[in-house]
Amino acid sequence: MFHSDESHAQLYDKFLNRIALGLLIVAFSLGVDCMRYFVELEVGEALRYVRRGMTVLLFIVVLPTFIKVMMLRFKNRTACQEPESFIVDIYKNASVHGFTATMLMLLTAQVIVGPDVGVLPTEFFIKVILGGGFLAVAISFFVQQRGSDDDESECDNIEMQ
Amino acid sequence: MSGALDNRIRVFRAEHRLSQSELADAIGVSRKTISTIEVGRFTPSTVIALKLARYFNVPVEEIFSLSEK
Repeated sequence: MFHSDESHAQLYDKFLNRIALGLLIVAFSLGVDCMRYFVELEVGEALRYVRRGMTVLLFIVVLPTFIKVMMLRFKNRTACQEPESFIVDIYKNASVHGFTATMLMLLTAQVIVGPDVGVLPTEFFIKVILGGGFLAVAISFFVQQRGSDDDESECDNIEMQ
Repeated sequence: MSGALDNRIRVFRAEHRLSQSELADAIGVSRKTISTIEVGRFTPSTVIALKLARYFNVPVEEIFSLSEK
């Protein structure tokens, strides 16, 4: 799964990529959980299994890199303190976008959700807003990163000519 | 002057026969960071700029300059 010759900076970039992917999975998982309020009991039970599968997937995606980064930090405290990189930069931007999206959804919920909201519990709205916030972070991260892989291959080929 | 940052990292890399990965490892950043600086997608910090200048043993102004366009 890992390249043994990965530098600290490469590993940290990979870790942030996995975190963003993890946030995407959590967002979908929360979405699936919210769907349970609108479907039949049997379908809801099936969705519960889908959610468990997503939880397993989340651990598979994030845990190995997380353990590697933590081990590196344990061995050398300064190893993972990359002050900046392109990936760190876009991750920070994505976090700001996620925060903004969460605030907008909270404001919207405050306006549209009244006492006559029906049978939907508060838990449902919390999950929708959390999921929306995570989804905004993940989408913003991957959209900003789009095309940067093309740059790499193109530039590395030039110096070999 | 637009204030956009031009750089000659690619030229220096070619002169030193370095790949992006080798340069990235040498100054302690990721390969993507180098590639995005080269194409102008990412503006590096003073620390990274100075590390690059020190690595190529040139003043930082020889690597980075403000665009005249």
